[in-house]
Amino acid sequence: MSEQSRIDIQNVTKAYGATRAVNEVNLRIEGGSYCCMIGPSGCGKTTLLRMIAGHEEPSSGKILIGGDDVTTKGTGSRGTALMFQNYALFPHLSLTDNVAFGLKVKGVAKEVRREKAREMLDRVQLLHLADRVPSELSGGQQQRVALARALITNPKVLLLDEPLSALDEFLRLKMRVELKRLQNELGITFIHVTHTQPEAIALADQVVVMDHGIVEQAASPNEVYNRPHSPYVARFMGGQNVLSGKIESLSSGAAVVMTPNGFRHDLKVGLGFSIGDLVNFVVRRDHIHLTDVADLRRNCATGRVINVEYQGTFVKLAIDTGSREEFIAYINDQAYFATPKAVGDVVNVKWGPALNHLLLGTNNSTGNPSED
Amino acid sequence: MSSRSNSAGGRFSSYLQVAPMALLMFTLVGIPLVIVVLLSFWQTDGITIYREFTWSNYASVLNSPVTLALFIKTIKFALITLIITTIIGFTCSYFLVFYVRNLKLQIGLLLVCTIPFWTSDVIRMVSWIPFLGREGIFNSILMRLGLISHPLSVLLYSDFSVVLAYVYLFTLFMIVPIFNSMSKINPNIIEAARDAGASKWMILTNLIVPLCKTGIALGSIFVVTLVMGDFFVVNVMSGGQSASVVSAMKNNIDQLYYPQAAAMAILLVVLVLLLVTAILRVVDIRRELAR
Repeated sequence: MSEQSRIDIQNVTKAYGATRAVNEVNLRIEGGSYCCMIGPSGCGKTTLLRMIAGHEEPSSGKILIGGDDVTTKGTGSRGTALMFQNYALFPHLSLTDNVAFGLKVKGVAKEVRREKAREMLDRVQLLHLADRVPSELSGGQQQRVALARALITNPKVLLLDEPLSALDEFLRLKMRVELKRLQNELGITFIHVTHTQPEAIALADQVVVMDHGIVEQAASPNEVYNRPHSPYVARFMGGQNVLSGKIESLSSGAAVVMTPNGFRHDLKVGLGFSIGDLVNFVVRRDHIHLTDVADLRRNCATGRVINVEYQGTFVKLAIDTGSREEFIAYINDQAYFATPKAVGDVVNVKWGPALNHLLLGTNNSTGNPSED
Repeated sequence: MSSRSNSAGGRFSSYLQVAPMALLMFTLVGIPLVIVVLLSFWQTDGITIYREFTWSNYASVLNSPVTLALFIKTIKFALITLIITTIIGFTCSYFLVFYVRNLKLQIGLLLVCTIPFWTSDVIRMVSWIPFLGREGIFNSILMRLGLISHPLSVLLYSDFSVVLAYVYLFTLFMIVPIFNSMSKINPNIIEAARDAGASKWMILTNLIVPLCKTGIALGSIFVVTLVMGDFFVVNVMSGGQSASVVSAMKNNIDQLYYPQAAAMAILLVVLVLLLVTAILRVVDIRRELAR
């Protein structure tokens, strides 16, 4: 299965006039994996998805599914099925006929396709509603119908365009689990476009972070989260503080970086850097401790608390350290409540030198994950 | 619906809300209809009307082969016009919705369709005559091109010209409702069908036509009632050679045979109601609109 459903995207560009929605993208999605494409609105993720589905044709480049060049092949004949954001169910057809539509197109006899559709509806636990029309269903039920309709033709690749964005929070978490379970059962490739970072981290084997039509980073969620490629990826995925500074001293790949607000940090930079270079690096928000002044030498910061948010298992402190970005620290709730802080208090934070991770990429856009 | 509308106060205010329209319908439609029904059962000697019950008005209408032929001819005109306007209306709407796409241009083109309505019926009818006549523009063009040697006389003062005029006048009443239901189709469901591999023809027959049923039904009601109630167009465009049920009614009225005219009117109302019922049988407009 895995060889047949591997997707290779080779030098794919999609231009609309002068703007390039997708710009020279090279990407391999392993067969049978769960891939999440993530990025802010207009980053090109949906365009890329639609090109894989065959609803758009690339301006240049090739798309291969299971080694076959499908760049110009029509939808319906390339082994993909697309699940639409608002489900796009046929409003005048019963659930059975909605699900059976793909088989009707292929010329399967009425009784046979209805029987198969009912089996598929049973699989998504909606058999008891088989004769209803979509408007009589809740959002979550409609989504499962859309899923059943997409899967009825046994696609090699299932493409999901923001499948969970129309659901409320509880249902979203529930459907997320169901999607993952279904993908495990079927063993086919899922490509899931989203703009919510926790969704991507929770579901994906491979996370593809996009910005302005370019793939910024394509790696495992662990890799993307812990070792982001650029400040943009770090900010978009969250959980990291992005710092920058000049290399002050350097010995065999270990540098000391001085930030503009006067703190020194240890950073492994490898080869190819020299003293005076400007570098970006990140430090994870959840590995930061509050500390006393005496401890302050390296890998630390001082600033005024500008916001405190209790999050249940930890407390989120926003600290103004004199740089343009707020420094965020997730403090263990027990440690915090031993010595609570108020907005306006001056606090010191420190962390282990190994936590500093160098960012090689230069995309420095703020990349706020869209809050909608 | 809020739960309030179930309470007694809510029901009262609902009645209050429909009251003005109900009053209007009662005085302008209900009362005249009752008068016509009564009139159709009264007797006349051509001078005075006697308020005495009789079936003879209906009997004379139904026993007259001329009148029955008129009914059949009117139904024929209505059905031919209905078929042609449906095809044109559907095609125009399809073009506007799926090819034009730009909303402003769509509305602009729809307004262009209404241009003929900026002037009166009479002028619109009369302006066909120099175009279609034996010495008319169309015949001269065909002759100049050498396609025909003698002018075609079937073009004007014939059933053809009557249907042509009906189509010309009433197509807009078909375009607007079909356009309305077609523009409500979510473009995503067409993409979803394409994603499943459906051809253009399958999308048309499986999705677009079924989803336009409401529009087609509403347009059909307009066209059928307009054609069935016409006597002016048929009179002008057939040069007096054809007539409709309403023309016969007018003749009766001119000769002061009001009860016969009333009986015909009631029969026509029944016929139109049957046609409309048939249309509503095919398409459950209430359910479709609720969806």
